[in-house]
Amino acid sequence: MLSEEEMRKQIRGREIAIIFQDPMESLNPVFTVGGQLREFIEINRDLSEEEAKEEAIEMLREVGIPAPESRYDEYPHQFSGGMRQRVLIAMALACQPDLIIADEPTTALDVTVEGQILEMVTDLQEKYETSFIWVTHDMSVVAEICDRVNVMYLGEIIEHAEVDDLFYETKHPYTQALLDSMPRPDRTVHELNPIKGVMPEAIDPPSGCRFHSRCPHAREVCREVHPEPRNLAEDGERPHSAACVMYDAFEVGYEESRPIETEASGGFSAGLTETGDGE
Amino acid sequence: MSGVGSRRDEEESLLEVRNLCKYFNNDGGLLGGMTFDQEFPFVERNPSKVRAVEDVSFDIKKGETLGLVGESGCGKSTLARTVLRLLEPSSGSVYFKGEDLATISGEPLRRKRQDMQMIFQDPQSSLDPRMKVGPIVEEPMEAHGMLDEEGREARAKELLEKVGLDPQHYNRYPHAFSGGQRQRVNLARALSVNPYFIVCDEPVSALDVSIQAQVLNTMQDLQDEFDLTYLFIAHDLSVIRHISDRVAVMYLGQMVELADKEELFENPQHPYTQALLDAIPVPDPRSEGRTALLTGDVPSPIDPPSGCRFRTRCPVLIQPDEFDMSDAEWSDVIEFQRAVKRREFETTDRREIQQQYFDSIPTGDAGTLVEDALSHIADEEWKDAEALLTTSFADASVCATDNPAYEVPSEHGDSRHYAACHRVRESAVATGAAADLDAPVGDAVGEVGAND
Repeated sequence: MLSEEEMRKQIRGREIAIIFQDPMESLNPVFTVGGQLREFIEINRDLSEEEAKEEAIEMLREVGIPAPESRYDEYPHQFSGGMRQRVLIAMALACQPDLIIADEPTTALDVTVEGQILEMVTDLQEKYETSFIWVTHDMSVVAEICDRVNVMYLGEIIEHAEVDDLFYETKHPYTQALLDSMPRPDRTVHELNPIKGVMPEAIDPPSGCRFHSRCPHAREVCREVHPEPRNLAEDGERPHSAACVMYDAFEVGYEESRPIETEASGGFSAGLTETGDGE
Repeated sequence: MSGVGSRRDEEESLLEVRNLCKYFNNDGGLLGGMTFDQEFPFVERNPSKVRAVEDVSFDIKKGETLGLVGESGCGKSTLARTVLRLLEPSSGSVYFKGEDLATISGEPLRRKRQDMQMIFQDPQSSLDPRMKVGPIVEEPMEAHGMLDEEGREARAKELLEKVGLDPQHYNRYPHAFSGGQRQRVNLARALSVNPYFIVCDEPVSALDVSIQAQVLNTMQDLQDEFDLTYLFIAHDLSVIRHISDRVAVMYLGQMVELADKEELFENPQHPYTQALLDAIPVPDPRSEGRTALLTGDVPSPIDPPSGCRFRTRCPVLIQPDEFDMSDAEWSDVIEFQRAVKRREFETTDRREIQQQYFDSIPTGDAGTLVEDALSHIADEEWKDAEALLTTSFADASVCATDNPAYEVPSEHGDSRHYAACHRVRESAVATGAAADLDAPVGDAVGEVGAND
């Protein structure tokens, strides 16, 4: 177990870096963009100020900022949102970490800019062989750049699969409901099927499977048994795990169990009465 | 949405916007509009205008949803606010049920507001945290003198139920609600005065996908029940495709395309719309992904490009008549011009540049001009090179000299298809501003004028 100081000196920045969601709030408005990038490189890579500045300009060029020598001395407000996010990516990549955690880095950006950034990240990832944990709620981004996906609900990972399997061999009812609730840009969807109800408070999560209160397939047993994700793939197939007792692998008697009324099946309405219910 | 498509043309327009402009001055403050220079006279004051919305015309029919899309900063929200007279229009008219909102003011305008409501993007900051939701919903009714106190309370409770909340929540404060529920309170408040028309400014973009779907469904149900007309602003094209009947695309303060939803998504005519559609990520790992992305940034609305405003980023800019290059040569030249303008490369070595940007240097006049520009760059005279390339190529295009405004035949749906792009001039059935598209098809209204 590393101490806080060891963590700060050896790991953060050098081995694991992070890119935050809001590019305006993650840069200090009173320092120049170049200065912030240089400082980061100087501290983490033990370079002199001169060397670090050179490296910083090189990184700015790498992430596609035009005329990096002159932009080096500009302040964050002189950069557009996409440009700022590029600076943060430059910062994360500057020490060539093995892992970068990207926390919704494109959520605040327009689709056109988002496309540019994702394209650049994919190229740089190949070049530097960096691993990414990409945190997002946008399934389109997941489909575009991820290799494997973990789906979380109320603090737990409930499904894990390769990206193609997740979209085409969806196992967990929550993942399915999430996919069904999205409007599509490539075709006209006449009826959206939102997940019924609201996410329960994490202070007092539902017993058993945490999704059972909103699940269309919920039965008595879901309320009692708390499933851990299990690999449901056949031997020789790509691993695909899900935490749902609906599958035989769990052997808890789902088939024999009595269906229960949930928000999704239409009985119980905890404060939120859907007007469009009964579709 | 119910099938509004077939009936739409017979229905009257609820809102007609004609040549609407909204400029902002940027000469506010002590040093506003000042420019500083190293040479005499050192300081100059030349206040300029931010042309946030310029010459926009469109109609909204009764009971329809008009989607409005565009990148951030393209003037969507300014347009919406100007339509509602929350901002004073600089010129142009907004006819709401036949009456020009741009000319009325004071009490008559205040009364009109009863018919037009707005839902804002951020459900957190658009509700007063110190008021209970009941009084929040009642406040507009009180302002317009509707019902008595008991009547208002009853109506507020009824509306809360209509938007999918528990009427028991009448006495709760906004903080007790989640984002999706707060947006429902906003809906109830907007509905309380029985409006005809609601402007929804990114109502679901702050919400999670699953909650977003719930709110969108509720909005559609309410539209059917109360026969509402929506102007729906969003930057998310999936949401727009789901909820709209017709879609308008804005770029840098102007409308570039307006058509039926199916038509716009399946048969887009303007290169900007095409680029925007290509840029949408599809939630499907087997889709081909995004193709050719736009390069460069949106130009400043203080000094927008002449003619078609998209021309500085357009991948299919039209070649000026005086040149006779092949399409490949022309696109090399224009790509080179943009690269010089954005200073995308640093080398001044002629051969290296040539290799990077040209398969072969065009022959004739165009070739001479490119050679001249390369010599300027070799001498590090970037500004001269940029000026030469820009005036002889980019600014000579019809896209820079004429304002585009055409109507093209629709392949889907029965509403008109307006596209502001010179590439459609051959197939166009009418020319003229979007406003004049109400004239019979084929009846060309006015010339495609040069820039005013």
